[in-house]
Amino acid sequence: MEFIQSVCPGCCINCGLYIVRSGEEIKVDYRKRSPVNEGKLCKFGVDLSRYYAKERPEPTVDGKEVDLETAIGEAAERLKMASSAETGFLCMGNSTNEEILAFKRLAESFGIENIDCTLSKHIISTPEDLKPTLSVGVPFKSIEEADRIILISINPSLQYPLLLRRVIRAEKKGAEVVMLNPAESESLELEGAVVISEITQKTDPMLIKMILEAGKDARSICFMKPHANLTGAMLLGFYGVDISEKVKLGEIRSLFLLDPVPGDMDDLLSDLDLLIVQAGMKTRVSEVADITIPSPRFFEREGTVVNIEGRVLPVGGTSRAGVESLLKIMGGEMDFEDVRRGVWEVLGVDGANEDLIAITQGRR
Amino acid sequence: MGKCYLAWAKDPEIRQKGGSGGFVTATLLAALKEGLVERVLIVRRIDEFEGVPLLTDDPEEVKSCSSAHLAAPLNLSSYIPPGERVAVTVKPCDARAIIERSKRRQIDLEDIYMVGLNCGGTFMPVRTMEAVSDLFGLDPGDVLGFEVSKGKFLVEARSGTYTLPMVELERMGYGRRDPCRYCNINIPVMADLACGDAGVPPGMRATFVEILTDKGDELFEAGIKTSMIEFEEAGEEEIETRVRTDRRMSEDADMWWDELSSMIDEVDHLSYYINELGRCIHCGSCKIVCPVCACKDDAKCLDMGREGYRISLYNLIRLFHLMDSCIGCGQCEDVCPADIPLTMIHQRFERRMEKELGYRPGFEMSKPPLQEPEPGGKV
Repeated sequence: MEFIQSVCPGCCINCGLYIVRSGEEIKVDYRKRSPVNEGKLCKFGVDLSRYYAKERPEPTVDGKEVDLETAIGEAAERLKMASSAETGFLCMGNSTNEEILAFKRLAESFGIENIDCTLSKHIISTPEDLKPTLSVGVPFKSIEEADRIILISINPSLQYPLLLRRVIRAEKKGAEVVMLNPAESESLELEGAVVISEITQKTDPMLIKMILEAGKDARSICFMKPHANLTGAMLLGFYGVDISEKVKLGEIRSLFLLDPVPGDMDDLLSDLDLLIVQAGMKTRVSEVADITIPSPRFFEREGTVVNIEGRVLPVGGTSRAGVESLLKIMGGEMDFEDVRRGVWEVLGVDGANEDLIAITQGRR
Repeated sequence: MGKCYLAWAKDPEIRQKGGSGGFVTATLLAALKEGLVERVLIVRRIDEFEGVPLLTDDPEEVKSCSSAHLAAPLNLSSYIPPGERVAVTVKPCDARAIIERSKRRQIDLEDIYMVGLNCGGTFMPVRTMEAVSDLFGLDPGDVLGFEVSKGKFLVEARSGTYTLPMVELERMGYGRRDPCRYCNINIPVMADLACGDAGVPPGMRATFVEILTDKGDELFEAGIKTSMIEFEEAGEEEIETRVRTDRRMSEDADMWWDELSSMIDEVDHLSYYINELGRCIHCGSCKIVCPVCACKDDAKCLDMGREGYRISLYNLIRLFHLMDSCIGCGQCEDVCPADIPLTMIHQRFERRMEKELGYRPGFEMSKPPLQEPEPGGKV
């Protein structure tokens, strides 16, 4: 029985848990020491061993299994040949900070400016001073201590169950909790409230704009996110263009996907000139890729994520393979430690510390 | 009452390092050395606020795990490998769970040596870190250890020792887990040995040991045979002190039960259950961690979830299944993401059944009175 301290990859809360390994068998156990969730998990976290049991991809080039070095070498060659203006790098927020920064450096090394974490369209349309509000949310303790909580187009019990208990605790202390559907509300009165909503690729940009404008007097605004490290991706600056839109318009012909999940542009992927996928599990997307580069399962990775509260959390594993594959495609000028230092520098932290709210919005 | 001794590890290092004179560590080492067990199941300390189960046959690992871990509220019964002879350190709730799991054929009681640890309750780690930070202004990383002694919460930190009466601590909302506050079983009388501080003369590094079963005798004999332990018989005064301490702790627990339970009595019961159980998100965690639930993935309760009722059939089935079997260990409440006071709810039913049927789960091998008939028709 090996107890590995890890975090859940299911959403931006990043609940702490143990992965218990006995030989090949993987189980999940409750980590009551985690300051994020105190050992409590939602259904996804409880069933995480099934998620990790999914088949892992083999390294492939044009549908044929090859060794990892061949796949990496072929990815480097084909990226060199591709037009940088027509190439995009899309990270879906299911990767560590270190992988995301290595991915960004890789894009830069090929002169590629089309980078996206699926939320670029929201970020680039937001005024500079409000951008931090989109990334990090608020410490859960401050939700518990709120006098007024406004939930806009979000149902925590269904979407983010581990947020629910914080809201209930506030309510038991006397907080007013309001669930708002903007479509049915004439105006948003958010003064002094802790505002909680969600930002996804499919969120109406007008809703984000409305919340940010009406929320200038709010005590804090927290945009929950559906993937494990979208917060980290945003903080590391992994955004620029709406790649999904560009693929639909045919303006992106080559695409590199980091840890993809099935999405609404999947049908278009097979029409691309080049599709490279680096992932820890086999999906429909990795199956149609021209080049597939396997990476470790999430809990096996050495690296960090930033949770919605602003904690920099270690993922718990020891494998650097995902970062190293990306650095090899780049030409091997950087190593893992360089990337790690880069992450600390961009995030402005000294290292991972689950007990510390290291990154804040700078709001009240 | 079984035979009672004051005992300690013969090895001065183990005696010094181990809790209460290192008797438990020495006994586990002796059980391994004598081949009574293949491995031992104990708690490995990660830090003062975190511990994980460890199944090992390595004496050095056993030595490194010595002393109790108050902020690791585990139920070790769930980590016992079936079909293997193991010695396991048990709080009363671990021991009761082992007995109930054995009734349900999850493990064979014959294979298990239960080294019981007297227990005044365990703490949730994060809340305890908040306590040392909020009340003493300490960085939890600077805490070297904490314990409860003579009704006081004692924290040893790099900067000194800090103390607060437990009553005060718990009135401020910190302290032991709720189910521990109202648990009135402090001495694991259903284990093979019961080990603790109560009854040990002040200043003596020793454990008060009560031998409760033949297997307890075997463990004690193994310690003597391997020269791992030294002992003397407990005197009447020591025994009386232990009895008095146990009585006082049980009375304290009953007071907590009356207080916490009466909060439900003050409101409409049905509304209370609807409000609390209505928050359930059906993650299944309470069933997964429940040491007395043996139904696994084909459990009837799992077929029932969001049927639209405010209290789901999942919760109702669990209430019925546990009303004669809940041992009050608190694991369900610890992991509930909706903060439902599940242990209190289950205990409200179980304690009533206990009175009506005269059956207390986890004390001996008789069958729960409400358990379904076996396939052969035997009840």
